[in-house]
This record gives sequence, C-alpha cells and structure tokens, in this order.
Amino acid sequence: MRCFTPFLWLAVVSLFPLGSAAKSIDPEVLFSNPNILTLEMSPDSEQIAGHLLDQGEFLGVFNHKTGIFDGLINFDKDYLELSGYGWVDNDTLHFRYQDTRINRTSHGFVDLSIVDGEVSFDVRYVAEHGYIVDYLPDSENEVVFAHRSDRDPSSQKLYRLTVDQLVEEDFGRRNRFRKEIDDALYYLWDASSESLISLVSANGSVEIWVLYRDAHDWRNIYRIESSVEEFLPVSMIDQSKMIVLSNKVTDTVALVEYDLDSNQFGKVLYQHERYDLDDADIVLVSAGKNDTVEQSVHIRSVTYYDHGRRSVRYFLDEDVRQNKLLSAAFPGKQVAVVSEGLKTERKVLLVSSSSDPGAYYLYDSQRKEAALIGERFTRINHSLLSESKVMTSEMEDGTLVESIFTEPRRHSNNVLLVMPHGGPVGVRDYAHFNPEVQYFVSRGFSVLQVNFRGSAGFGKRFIASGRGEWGKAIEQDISAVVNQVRADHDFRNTCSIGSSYGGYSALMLAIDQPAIYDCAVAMYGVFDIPLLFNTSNLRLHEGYLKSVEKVVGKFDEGMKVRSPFRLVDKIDVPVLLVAGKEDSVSGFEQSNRMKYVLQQSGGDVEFLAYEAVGHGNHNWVGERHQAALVNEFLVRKLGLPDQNFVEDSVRIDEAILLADSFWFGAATVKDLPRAIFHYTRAAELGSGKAMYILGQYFRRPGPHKNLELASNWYRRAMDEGFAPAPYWLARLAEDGVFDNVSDPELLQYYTRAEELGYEYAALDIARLNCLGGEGFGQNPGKCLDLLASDRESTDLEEKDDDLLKKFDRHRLSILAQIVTSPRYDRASADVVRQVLEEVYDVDTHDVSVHLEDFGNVARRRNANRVYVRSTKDRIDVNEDSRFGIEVEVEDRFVDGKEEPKVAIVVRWRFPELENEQGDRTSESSQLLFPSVGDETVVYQTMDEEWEKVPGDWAVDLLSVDGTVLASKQFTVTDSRPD
Amino acid sequence: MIRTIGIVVVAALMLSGCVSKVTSIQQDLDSGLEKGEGYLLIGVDTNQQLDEIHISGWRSFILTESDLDKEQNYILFKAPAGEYRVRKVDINYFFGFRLNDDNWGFSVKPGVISYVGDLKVRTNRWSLIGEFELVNESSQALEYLEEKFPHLLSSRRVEYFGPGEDDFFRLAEGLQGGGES
Repeated sequence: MRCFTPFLWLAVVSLFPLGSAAKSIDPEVLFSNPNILTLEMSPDSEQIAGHLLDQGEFLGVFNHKTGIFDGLINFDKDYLELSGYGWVDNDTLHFRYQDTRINRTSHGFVDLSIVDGEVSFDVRYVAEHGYIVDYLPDSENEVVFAHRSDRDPSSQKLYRLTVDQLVEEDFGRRNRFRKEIDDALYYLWDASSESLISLVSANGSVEIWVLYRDAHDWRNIYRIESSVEEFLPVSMIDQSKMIVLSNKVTDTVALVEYDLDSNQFGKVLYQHERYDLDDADIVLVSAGKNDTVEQSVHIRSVTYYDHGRRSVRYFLDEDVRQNKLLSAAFPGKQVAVVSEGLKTERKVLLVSSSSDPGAYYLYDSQRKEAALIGERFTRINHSLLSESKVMTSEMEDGTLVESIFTEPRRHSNNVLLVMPHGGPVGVRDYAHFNPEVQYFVSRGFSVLQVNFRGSAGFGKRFIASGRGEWGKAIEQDISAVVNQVRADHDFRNTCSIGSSYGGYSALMLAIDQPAIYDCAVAMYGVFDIPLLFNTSNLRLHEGYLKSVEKVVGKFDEGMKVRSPFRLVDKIDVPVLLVAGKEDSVSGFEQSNRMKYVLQQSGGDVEFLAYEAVGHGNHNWVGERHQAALVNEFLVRKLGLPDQNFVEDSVRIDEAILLADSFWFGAATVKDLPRAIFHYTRAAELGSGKAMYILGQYFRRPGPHKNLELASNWYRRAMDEGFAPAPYWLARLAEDGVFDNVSDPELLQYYTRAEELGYEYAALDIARLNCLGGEGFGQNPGKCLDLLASDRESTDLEEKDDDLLKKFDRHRLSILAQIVTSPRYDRASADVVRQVLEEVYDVDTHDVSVHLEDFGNVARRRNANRVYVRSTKDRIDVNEDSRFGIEVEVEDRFVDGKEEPKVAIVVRWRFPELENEQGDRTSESSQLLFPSVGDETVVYQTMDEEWEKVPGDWAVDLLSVDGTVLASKQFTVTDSRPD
Repeated sequence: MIRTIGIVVVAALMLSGCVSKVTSIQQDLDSGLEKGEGYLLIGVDTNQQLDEIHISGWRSFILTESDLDKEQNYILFKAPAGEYRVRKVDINYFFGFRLNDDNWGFSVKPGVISYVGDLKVRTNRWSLIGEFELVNESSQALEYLEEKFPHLLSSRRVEYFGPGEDDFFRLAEGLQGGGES
C-alpha cells in the first residue's frame, strides 16, 4: 500500500504552496480524518514511521527515495484499530492494536530492512495483555513491558525483554525488570535517572510513586487531591529531588523543583506570567568528580498556549537560533517538534496555524533544510481557510479575557456567531485549525470564541473565578467581548451557538441580551440547572453531587432564575436545539424539556434528536450532518442570501444528507415534511436524485398526492440523468399511474434508463419487443437477446451478488408478465421457451396439473413448508392471513429425465389494491419451477393492511404457451369491526 | 448506571394475594380510582426483551413481558398509594438481577398519575452483567401521556415521585393552562 504524498526537498526559506484548488470548502473533506495522524522517528533519526489514514488505516514507513509511505500493516477492517506504535531500535517497529470485536489489545513487531529505497519486512504478533513502558532507545532490541495477566488484568508485572523473548512470551522470573507496586495504574520510565514512576490508584485519588535507580522500595512522593491540581513529573534530578510541572504553589502551572524527602516544593524554575505551562524540557549537566558529582538543571524549553496558539520558548542558545530560523521560514505558523531521534539535529516538525491544518516536515538543522513529508489534509484548498485573530479584553473588574475571532476572507454575510465553549471550567478554545469554525466561516459567518473566566490555561485563580458563574460572570465576560467586537464591525445579525455548556450559554446570552441576538443554536446543553441535582437514582449520592457543585456551585434557588428552561418567556428568538438520545453527560431530558416548554409557549423552536449519539456526534458524517443542519437553520431564520459562492455539488450533497436522514430515519426519526423540504432544496439546485424522490413522494397515497407533480419530477430527474427516473416513469405509466405517456415513449424511457445504467430496464425493453405495442412492432430476436444475455459479464457482476439476484428475479417476473399478456403469441412464446430452456434449464413441454386442495394455508412447525390447513373458498381477513391452492404436477417422463423441472405461470386476479407507495394493481404473476410429481402450494398473503381487500380473488395456473391448467376462485370477506 | 451480576432465578412460591401481575392500561379513559389508589407510570428502556420486573411495596407487582419489549416502553397501571421499590429484573426464565440497595425506591400518591422514572436496563449478550439506572425523563413521559392518554391526562394531574425532586410537571401544567410558571 502506498500513500501518495509528495516529497519535496525545500530550503527553509521557500515554501511550496499546499492544498487543492477546489473553489469552495467541501465539508466532506473538512470533517474527515487527516491523512497522517502521527509520525515517529527512529533512534538513529534515519527512518520515520507513521500512523496513516490516507486510503485506509495503516502503519507505514516513509521511503526517502520515493517520497511516499510504504505500507507495513493494514488496519482497514472496521474492528481493527492501531492504538500505538514506536521504534524498538533502528530496524524494529512495535505496534499495538485493538480488536474491537473482542475488546482485546494485541501487539506486533515489524522487522524492517530498507536498502536503497527497497523496503522488506517480517511481522510477528504477540497476543499478550500489557503495554510497552519504554522502548529503551539506548538499548538495542529491548523493551520494558508491563504484562497484565488474563486471570487478573489489574495486576501488572514488569519485564525487560528482547523482542524475541516477548514474541515467545518468555515471562520468566529472570526477565523481571524491577519491583512492582500494588494498584499501579501506569508505569513510566525516566531514562536519565533510571527511575520508575508509577501512578497509583488510592481511594479515589491518584498518588505518584517513584522507585529510584537502585532503591529497593517505592516512595510515595505526591497525592493529587483536586481536579485542578497539576503534578507532572518532568525529570528526576537525584534520589531526593525532582523537576515537575505543578500549580500547587503557583497560580499557573509552572516548572518547579520538588523535594522527595520533605514532600515540599522548592524553587520555581519558570513560571509564565499568564499561562499554564503545557510541557517542558530540561537538560541535566553533571559537574564534579567521583563521589561529588552534582547535577545542574538547565531549562531547554517550555510550552504554553499564548492567545490560544501553541508557543514554545527556548532557552539554550542553539535552540533559540534554530527557532528563529524556523520562525522566519514558516512565518505566522506554529512549529512543533513532534518527534526526534537520538541525533537531535534531525527532527519531525508539524507546521500549522488556524488557517492551515498542518504539514509534517523533516528538518535537518545542520543542513538547514526542511523537507515536506506530507500534509495532514491534502484535499483542502488552503487559500479558502481563514486566519483567526486573537485578542485580549479587560473586564470591568480588571480580569483579562482572551478571545479568538475568525472572519471570512470573502463572501461575508455580516453575521456574527458567538460560540462559547463547553465545560465551562477547565476547558478552553485554541487558535488552532478548527473544522467547525472554518466550516461556518467558509459560509460567510464570523465566529467569536471567548476564553471566559473558568477556562483552562490561565492559572488556578482564573479557573476558580468561573465556578458557579453559570449565567453570571461567564456570560458577562462573553457579552463584554461581543460588545467590543460589534463596536468594531457592522454586523447585520448576531447569533449564539454552542455545545454542552456552550448550549446553555447560547440560550442565556439570547435571554440576557435580547437586543443583540437574533437566533440561538443550543446543542447537547444543560437548560435546567436544578435537574442536574435530580437526574437519576444513581446520581443522588454525595460524590456525584459534589462533582456537580464543583461546576455549577452549591444548589440554591437562584439556579432556577439562571435556567433557560424556566425563563422560556424571555426567549424571543428562533432556537435550534440539537440533542443526543444517549447523552449521559447533560442528559437527553435537558434538551427535551427545553423543547417541550418552548413548543408549549409558542416559541420558534426546531429540534433534532440524534439516535445512538451521546454528548456530541462521534463520527464525521454526524459532524457534517450537524454543521449542515445548523447552517441551513441560520440561513433560513436570518433570511440570508443563498450561499451561491459554494459549489452546487457541495450544497446538493448537504441538502441530500439532511433529506436522506429524515426520509429514511437514519440517525434521527423519520420526518417526511423535513425530508421533502431538503429534497426540494436539492432539486432546485439540480439534483436528479432529489427530483426522483420528490416524484416518489407525490405519487404516494395521502393528502399530498399529486400525480401531475410526480410525473413532472420524474421527467426532470430523467433530464438530469438520474437513471431510475425514466424507468419508473415508464413502469408507472404501464401500471396506469400516469396517463400521459405513449407506448413509443415507454420504449424510449426504458431505453434511456438502460443508457443511464439502470440494468433492469433491458428486461422491460425485452418485454416490449416480445409483445409489441402501439407505434412499434414485435422484435422477438431483440427480445431473446436481451432476456438471454449473460449479465455476469456486465457491470452487475462487479457490483455484487445481490444485484445479480435481483436482476434474475426481475427476469422471471418479466417472463411471467409476457406469458400473461393479452398480446402473448406464438413468436413470443418461442422466445420464452428458449430463455427458460437455455437460462434456467427447464423443461418447457406441456404439463398438466391437478388441483388437490384449496383454503387457508399454514406453515408446518419445524419445517419450511406450507400446507392447506382447512378446505374452504371463503376467506376472512380477520382469521386467515394466507390462502391458496395445492396442486400436483402430473406424472410425465420427458426426454428420459426423471421428475424434470417444469415451468408454470401463476396469475392472481383480485380487486384493485394500492400499496403504501401508491402503486395500484389488480393482477400479479410469477413463474414457478416445480418438479413433476411434486405437490406445490400456491398462496397469497394478506399480511399488510392494504392487501386485506374483500371481493373476488382468483388464481390461475398457466402453461408456458399460456393455456390455463387450473383455476380457483375465492371470496374474501372482512369481519373485523369498523 | 449500576452494574450488577446476574443471578439464577429460583422459582419461589408467591402468595397470590400479595403479588399481582399487571399489564399496562391500554384504553385512554379514567375508569376511576379506589380510595387511596393512584396511577403509576414507569418507563422501561431496555436493550433486550425482558421477562419480568418485580416491584415490591404496599402491594407487590410484576410487570410482564408483554410490556417489556426491547425498546422504550411505558407501563401505566393502578396501584395503592405508598412506598415502593424495584426489586428484581428478570431477563428470562433462567436469569435475573436483584436490585438490593436502597437506590430503587419511589412512591405513588393517591388520585394522581405518579411518574416514577424510566428504568434503563442494559445487559450484555449473555445477560450475565446488567447495568440499571432509574432516570428522570419527565418530559418524555408527559409527551407519551399526551399522545396516548389525552383524556386521562385531562382528568388527572401528573406528579414526579421518582429519585430526587422535580417540578417539571407543575411548570408544564402552568404553561398549558396559560398560567405563570
């Protein structure tokens, strides 16, 4: 397998323009997996392995000669997922994968050989529970493996093993690595100090334990008491000192010394004045002689989010110089080192920005070259993406609040979407590439995201200041920034939109600021705060209620006046509510009761409940559906002009996506009016499929039935080249549904359908050629050619067996229709005989049948056979669901064959029936191939309500030449109460 | 949801005077209540067909399989006012789950429709592990009553007597009557 990603050597100062040249952003591309998920460099910095999602999911290795990834292991099965990988040494890759069918994680190793661009490899598998603690990059072909036994998965044992030993499951005592600790959640290995670090579960909290170098016993060094507390080990300095990222003694997460003996924090090595540190890298320099060696700590880099952008500050001269070089080479971009080997001059970089989903580069600092490895999204036209601006606003109390504002590059509709994030505490928005933001901006909207108080990354005080501020300080922060942005822009409309807490906030903003907001989109939200304290029996215990209190504050009556559900009379804008039926975070009840009160109070509310969706969509199709739903709502409710700057094909796809979901009840409940609304939109944009479905809709029974409209939609769909349209136009005309189609037009329409690729039409063309019609004569030769053609050599075979079976069933139906037609004659009979003999190997000589019994029909227990249960010719739909006749094909011996298979046509005649699709019929026919001597039951079902029509029903059995061999008439009654 | 390991159901003698098998009321009419009696509405949302649900209290009831399809079901029946609890959920003749702790209680008030929550049941294929939760889904219960029992709803108030407290029905009533919420 190959990933066709260009590999171009570039000087750092010149960049190749990336992305596709599409005229508008296709949501199918925007809401999709990146081509490259992660990359890992080998210890010698020569090879790059990747988790790739281009053309399926696979583990690959970058081929420097060809510039593309060579596939190693394919995970392109629905139930297989690559969950991790890494380099054991320079020619051995480890990978971990999940089989979701049995919920089991397994491992494998790839022994690689790359010679002059030729990749060869062997794969070995290990079906053991566990994980790699460390790949020991300094040690050839060895790993530290934490083994979980099948019998007790909570117990972990540590082994230092070669790959061979691991593959051979050599978990002998001699391979044990270090002493383990009880209740370990996870082990980490700090190579510089040769120490094991473990996160340990302890009475609902997490403790950090360390086993230093040659120490015998584990030491409990820290207990994390609160959810906002950070304690992330960076490196051990010696047996009693560690460098950590923590906010225990500082407001923001800082780089701090920690004394293991006294359990006290020491010197703060680096603290950003506003932002929490996200990562840090230090260098230990040894000085001194023999027993008096001392380690001095040098900070190499710290990482934090400055105005939502990932920022790395370097401290060592060489790194600073390199960073300047990269910043100059990639102006305006965020450059992150995502992987490096032991040779630090070669690194894998991810270069991205809010308007650039990113590209991976191989950077060689000695040669000062950055070579493109591959883009994360190759099909996005980068020139259509918009850069986010970041800004800081001072609130009335002096609090600084950062925001991210993204305006469309072109086609602005002058609508501001205020998009509060979820949480609200400990969550934040970033100025990264954001598909949802880019989607709305690509449709002309401006999007404002506010990192209001409570957001993560700005220190503990900032987080704490957001607790319990639902409908209060949080919305005040948002409103202050909205006012600032609106003052600088002339927006025609402003709408609030958000998910989870953002859904709550969207409605509260519209309630608090009715003069500003023109609509609100609230998804997966909380709308009745008191309900959070009364959700279910299992969520009434103290622990759960405390976790709720941490977010919304202690329960008080004031929560009621900050709950949109209880403020419905103050909601005076159109509202779109989106919910997941399986939402266990907010709870579906929150959205449903919000919808209920809005509907009851006469509010302008639209509602969509996704089936099998929790607290947000979990797949890309769902994301696309939701984005399209919201966009359409905004355009319609705000009366915005058509988004005709978006390619018609994209707009059609969106309308069809929405329409199909409501038509078929996929992902949500069936809703025909909504389906028709969206199909009509798609039809107006030129979608043949939408026109065809509108034709289907308007011919169905019901108050909307309009055959003229239906016929017109079919004709328009045919004009657009939608293959089923001409076929069904002709079929329905033949069935008498449409009366405005002439016989020559019938043939013309069937022919058009076949030309457009509707294979079944060939059989109907055959039927018309066999029987002839007004305006055209019989053509038995053509009829035979079409009926006897070997479809296995056509496209149908390439499609699937089901289509072939359907084609064959239709051919049998056509043959029966030919035999029962009033126009059936000797010429057409010859064709039918020939097809039956050649295609179905059926004896077509005359047979006779004997009527054995008639009445209601039942299925024998434990046998796939039916029989006449009681003899009668009066059938009551209230008592009998099946009725028919039992016949025996008379004994004959033809051409020396014993019990040959013969052909009989069954024709039922009945009062006119109209099915759910609006098709009317008073006759049906089918072909049977009983064997001579067999007893055969021919029966009619009345399972469906539309089949239960009283009157005279008759069944005829006909020979291939059209002679009636047997007949039976039934009187069907209906004794059910009206 | 609470996770429970399945038990083998042992057939036990039940005194016919104490335990009633009930099926949901089908017809939308208020046939009247005895003194001290009310309507009990419980939702059952299950990922597989259930055999029985046992409710014990002032009287004991068994909800039967005809009302316990693999989907969302509502069961409405008359019950003496008092305190009750869901005691056992039987998946089939052989396997069931006892809900032993104190989490499963609710009450029935005389003269009204007492909605006591939706019992969510999720069991694995072999029915050996089950997850249960009694969830407050008042608005969906009210929509069900509005659709299936409009006449009953016009003559009887609905009140919430499931886990916790909730004034949804009172607020909804206020909206329908055009009154203040």
